[in-house]
Amino acid sequence: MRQRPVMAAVGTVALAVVLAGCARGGLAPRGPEAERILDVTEILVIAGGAVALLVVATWVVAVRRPGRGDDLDAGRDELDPDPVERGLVLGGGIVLPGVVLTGLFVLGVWTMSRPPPTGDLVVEVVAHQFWWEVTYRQVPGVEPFATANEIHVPTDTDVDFRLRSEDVIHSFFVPQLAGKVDMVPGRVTSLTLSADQPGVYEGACAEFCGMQHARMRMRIVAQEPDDFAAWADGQTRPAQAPEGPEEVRGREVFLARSCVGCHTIRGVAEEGDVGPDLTHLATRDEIAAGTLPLDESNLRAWIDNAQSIKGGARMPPQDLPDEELDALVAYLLGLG
Amino acid sequence: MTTTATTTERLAAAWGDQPGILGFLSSVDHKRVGRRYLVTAAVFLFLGGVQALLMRTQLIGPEAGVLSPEQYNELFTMHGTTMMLLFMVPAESAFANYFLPLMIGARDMAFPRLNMFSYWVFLFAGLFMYAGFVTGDVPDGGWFAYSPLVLDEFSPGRDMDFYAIGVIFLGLSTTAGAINFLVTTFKLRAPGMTVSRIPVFVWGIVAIAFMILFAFPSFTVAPLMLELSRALDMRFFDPSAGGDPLLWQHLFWFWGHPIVYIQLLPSTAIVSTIIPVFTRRRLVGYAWVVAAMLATAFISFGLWVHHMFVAGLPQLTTSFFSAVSLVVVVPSGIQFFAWLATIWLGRPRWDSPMLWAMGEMLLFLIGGITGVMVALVPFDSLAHDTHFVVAHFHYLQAGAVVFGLLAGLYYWFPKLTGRRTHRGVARLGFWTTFVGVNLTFMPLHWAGLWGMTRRIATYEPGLGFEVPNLLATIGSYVFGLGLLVVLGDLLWSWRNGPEAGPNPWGAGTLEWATSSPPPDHDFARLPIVRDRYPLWAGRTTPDDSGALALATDDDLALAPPDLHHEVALTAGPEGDPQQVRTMPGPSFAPLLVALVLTLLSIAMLLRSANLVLTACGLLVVSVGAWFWPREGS
Ligand code: HEC
Ligand SMILES: [Cu+2]
Ligand SMILES: [Cu+2]
Repeated sequence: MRQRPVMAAVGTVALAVVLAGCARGGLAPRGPEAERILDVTEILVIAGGAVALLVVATWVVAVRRPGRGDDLDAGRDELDPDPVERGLVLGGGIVLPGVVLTGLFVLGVWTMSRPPPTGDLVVEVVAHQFWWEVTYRQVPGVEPFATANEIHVPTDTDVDFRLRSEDVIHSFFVPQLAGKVDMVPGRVTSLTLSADQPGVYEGACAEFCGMQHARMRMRIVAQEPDDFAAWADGQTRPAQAPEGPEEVRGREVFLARSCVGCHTIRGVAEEGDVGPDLTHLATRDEIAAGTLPLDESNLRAWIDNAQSIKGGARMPPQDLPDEELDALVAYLLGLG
Repeated sequence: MTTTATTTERLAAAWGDQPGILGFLSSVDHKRVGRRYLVTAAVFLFLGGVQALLMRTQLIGPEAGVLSPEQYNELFTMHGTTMMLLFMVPAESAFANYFLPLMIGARDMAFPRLNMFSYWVFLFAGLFMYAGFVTGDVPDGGWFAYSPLVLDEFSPGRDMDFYAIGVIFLGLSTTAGAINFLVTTFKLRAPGMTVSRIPVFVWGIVAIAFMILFAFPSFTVAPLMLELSRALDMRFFDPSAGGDPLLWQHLFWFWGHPIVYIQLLPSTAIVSTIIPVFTRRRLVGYAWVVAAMLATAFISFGLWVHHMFVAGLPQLTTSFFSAVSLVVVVPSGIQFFAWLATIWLGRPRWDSPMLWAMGEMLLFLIGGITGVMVALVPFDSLAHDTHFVVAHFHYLQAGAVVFGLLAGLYYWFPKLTGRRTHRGVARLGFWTTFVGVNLTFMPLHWAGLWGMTRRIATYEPGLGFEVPNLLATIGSYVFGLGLLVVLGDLLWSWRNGPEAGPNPWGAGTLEWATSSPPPDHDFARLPIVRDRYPLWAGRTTPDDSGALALATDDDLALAPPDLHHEVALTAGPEGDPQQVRTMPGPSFAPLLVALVLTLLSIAMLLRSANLVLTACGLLVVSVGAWFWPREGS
């Protein structure tokens, strides 16, 4: 008997662990869109679970009751169906699903029908194999600017995403904030979402888009509106001028090498549009579409040979002399 | 006594094949076709299974580094293609080919040569798709081959050509098979087999045959457009030239959704066949079950868009398809409750086929419920393209379909081999497989809800995907082990099992009226059908005496079809005898034409105009040879 409280404690802890473990992704919504989806999910799980229990219970009774025993000839006469037949086949097969499914359908449509998005902020996202180009055009008080893979949004604000693709089909998916929406070449799709709390929300490309589909991730960083405004203000400025000689050398290398053909650094070289905008690279936590923490050694390795890290990414190996590589890394890490 | 011996001898002479390799290559016997389908499909199941285990090994933990992204993408593409096209549908064709004629009391399929042709095409198309492994061009754009990813620009090389040409080629086999099943059922039923006496399994095959005829054209046109885009730079899917990437998705899913039911219906039809035998009760609500299967076939063409709920289509569209996706649940519910009612009335016996059938029911239930969940657009926007969906459809396909097929295999094994399986080992195989399939796919529901997307070659640590993936990988090994036990049991019993006799389960349909395995001519005298379960009529238990009515020459009112290579044609819903027809015998033509088609596929793959023209010329010649009227035949 003394074991009871112990058992109860163990049980509670176990349950807490399980629940904490469950509170991830779509099951840990941090915005109204995702919450709405979780509501539907809960109703579906309860309704589905109830139907499953009912069916299994019927099965158990059917198996265990004595039955009417063998009779190979019984039931030949179709016109006089057994009451069991009428009850189970029509009741269980038609009435039960009819009622449950109608209810669920109404729920689904009702959840989906909501006023068209009236975003306070519009963010354009263009998907590429295998990274995200992000453009802010309508942040009040600041010029349009571009960034990549890390999308900042103010909390408690409806943000309209305009989604496009330049190559193959991708899909925009941040489970804690909203359902996913495909990005189809030749079309613009849209999604409105809003985050309740500041935080970093993991996202990913959800449609198979080629070799590095698995490493096409992203993050949405939700900030208090003031913090967001400060961030946007920083992003809108041209790139930081190099400070020491090493950084100056790095900028020269950037301009002299192939980088300029693909990357833009605002105020330095603005032609490149194949790869991510690097103007404020150092403000991002990760590179390579949210899959590689930004630090000196990773950046060096990436520039040296991105293929060894993310084979199939659209950035060729660079093969630079060590001296140039060091300078380039120093310069890029200074782009705050 | 002498007369019967002569009769049997003459029948054997009329229906048998030549001995040796020539006999093997020229045979058109439906049972041989069925067996070959079965063995070939099993080989493809093995290959697809190995691919699955490799992928699960790669996903056992974050960044496991077992496979490169490229290899992973190749494996999931081939795994999907193999299981969908080279395992499930052919395995069902195997049962249909072997048992459909036996169940309706016929001596062969309506078009025996076309039937063997279907098999050869299936075999060669399968080999063709796998040839990429030899040449190093394994398709890696997904079995769903979404444009523009699979166009030349993003998938250079021959990889996706193996896929596109392979599936067009294979479609011929499936379509020819479907026509054969339909005509056989409509024209070769034993005298007296009215529509309401057709066994439910045959109804299931009729339903999917109709579906195949309506669905496969779409899946012939779409890959053809893909191939034209790749080889001749046509722009069906290119928005900059007025095309649309979503066109591919519409065409693909117009086939790709029905195919799911094409796979599922035979499996549920097998369950509807087995439950009555092991509860000693007729199937309750036969008419409802048949109507439900036909309704499924029809409705399944109205919900392809539920694979495109997040593609940015208008809300009215998605709502409509959401509603239809829910409606299609009702026929499944009817079948389910008909099974429950049958068990309710009778007393179940737990022989191996029944175990697998009950496993099918449970897995079907779980997969069906998650199917209802993803039919709702809001939930789908979370679950779509995550591992939740992987879990959902594997419950149906690796679960319900595989269990249904294995139920059928255990049920008909005595008929196929004349022997019974080992009860204990069969049980071990069942329980291992059952635990394995649940352990593999149950945790993946969670992984999906937590945000784990599909078709990813790896995942990062720290996202919480570790535990469900570890469980799933362990589960997949258990699953594989279970299937090996089953295979071992079947192989061992095939040689060493105890003799089964004609009707070991006391079943009621006609395939059990002939010896196990059946003779070349199936039935010495054609049965006359007066009941839906001809072997049960007037009996309470299988031990009660009673005799199956056999056709006399008078019944057929025509020349006796007994002694020659002939079958009886029947007409109309009542199955009235109509005429006696001589069947075509063994021939090399089906093999020849299939080989020429293989050449044509290779020519298209090589994009060689000369070779294509040569192959077309050979095609005309070989088809001409096939149909050339011959003296005396
Ligand atoms: C052929 C075009 C191309 C060239 C040349 C090129 N890059 Fe890139 N770069 C890319 C692409 C595309 C990406 C995105 C890869 C991905 O994540 O899939 C990228 C990513 C990067 C990133 C990571 C950005 C982020 O936020 O994830 C850095 C840093 C970078 N490149 C630096 C350079 C430097 C320095 C050079 C010159 C030495 C260079 N690149 C040359 C195309 C190019
Ligand atoms: Cu992508
Ligand atoms: Cu579907």
